[in-house]
Amino acid sequence: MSGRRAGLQVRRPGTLRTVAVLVRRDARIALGGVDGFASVLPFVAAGVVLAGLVLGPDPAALRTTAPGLVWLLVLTAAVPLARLVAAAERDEDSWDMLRGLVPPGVLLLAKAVVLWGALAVTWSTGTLLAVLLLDGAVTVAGCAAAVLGLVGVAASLTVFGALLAASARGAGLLAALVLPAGLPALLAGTQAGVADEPWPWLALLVAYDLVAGATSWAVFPFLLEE
Amino acid sequence: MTESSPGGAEPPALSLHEVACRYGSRTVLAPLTLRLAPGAVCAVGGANGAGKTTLLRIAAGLVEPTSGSRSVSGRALYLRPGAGMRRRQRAVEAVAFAGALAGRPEPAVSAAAALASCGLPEELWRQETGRLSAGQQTRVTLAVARVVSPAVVCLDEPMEHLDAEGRAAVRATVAALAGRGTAVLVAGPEAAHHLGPADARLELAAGAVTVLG
Repeated sequence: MSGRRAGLQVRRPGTLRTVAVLVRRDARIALGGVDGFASVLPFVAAGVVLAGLVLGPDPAALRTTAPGLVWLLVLTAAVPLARLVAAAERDEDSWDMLRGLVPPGVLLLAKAVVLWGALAVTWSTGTLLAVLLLDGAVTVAGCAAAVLGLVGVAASLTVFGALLAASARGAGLLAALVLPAGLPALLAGTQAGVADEPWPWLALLVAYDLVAGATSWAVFPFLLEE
Repeated sequence: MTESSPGGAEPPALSLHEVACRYGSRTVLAPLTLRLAPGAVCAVGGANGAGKTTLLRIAAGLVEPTSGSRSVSGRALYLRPGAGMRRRQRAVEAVAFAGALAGRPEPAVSAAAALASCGLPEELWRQETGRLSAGQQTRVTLAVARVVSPAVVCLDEPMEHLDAEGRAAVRATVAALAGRGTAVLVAGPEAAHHLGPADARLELAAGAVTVLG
């Protein structure tokens, strides 16, 4: 056995390839079931309908509150979506394999992309319903704010998702952490969609993305340790 | 300190140097030194709570030892029976997914070959793994280990849920992995008995090695 090499010698796949493989698998699982991601959309729909009933028939009030309402529903829906990161993997005993095969930074990126996709579908569904039921408006700046704001939310949520899997008390902490961490996206995302001058709000979202991304990058590997 | 060095002077696939693990004041694993050469097989026995899983998870890099150091010459994989797949994945997709993450050039082809080698009937390959029996899920786990073939594989209680034919599949998988140069740690209360000849044998009791062979 002298000079023998350990294991099958194959080249480690690149970051983008690994992210694509992981995202494709998670998307198939999410779209194929009725729990998890699919359960979030009826919740958002119910939230928009109930908000319409609570706010009354005044079209101006409905139109004004619609963007903020959608962002609030997205952030609330983010709590169950955090299970997509690690808790569902751990419950089904696939988390150890991912930790063994995928470097922490790539795992963070892949899971953040999955969450960004889930959050984007949630925001789009909420916005569509707000347009149909609350007479809300869709603006280019509002859409750009969603694209940008959800990056920071997804990065933060990936860290909270790993925390949820690592700590028995994580579930209780999660709701208390997600909403404050998403506050910049809630405020700037809402204002960018309605303000005459959206650029300062979009710049704030870029800054939020940078801070959330850098913090998640620094913290995530430590959350994988036992 | 207990030391085992199957493989002699070869560069090790796995090297644990005085690794120990404590949770608070409780010692889960006493200091242990272990070097496994590429292709070496080590059976880890002991009763429940003896520290087998902790040793394997340290070897795979999932648990940080309280003291001591660990080095691996590549990737390490820790697998329990039924692990390594999502319940909604089809068996062949789960194995191909692991192969793709490991960088196998044709993961679907490798997955089919691995599942066939592990004795999972072909009509079950497109079944969701959550609908398979525990023994069938273990065969999918073995196929994952085969298709990835990393530097080190840690199989925790792989004989669980398996009939005689399934245990033969475990032995064949361990032999195939060792033949490709993968160092294999196999844990179970009677791992050495079920596994047959191994390059090293550890028996743990209350976190310490009691038998070394």
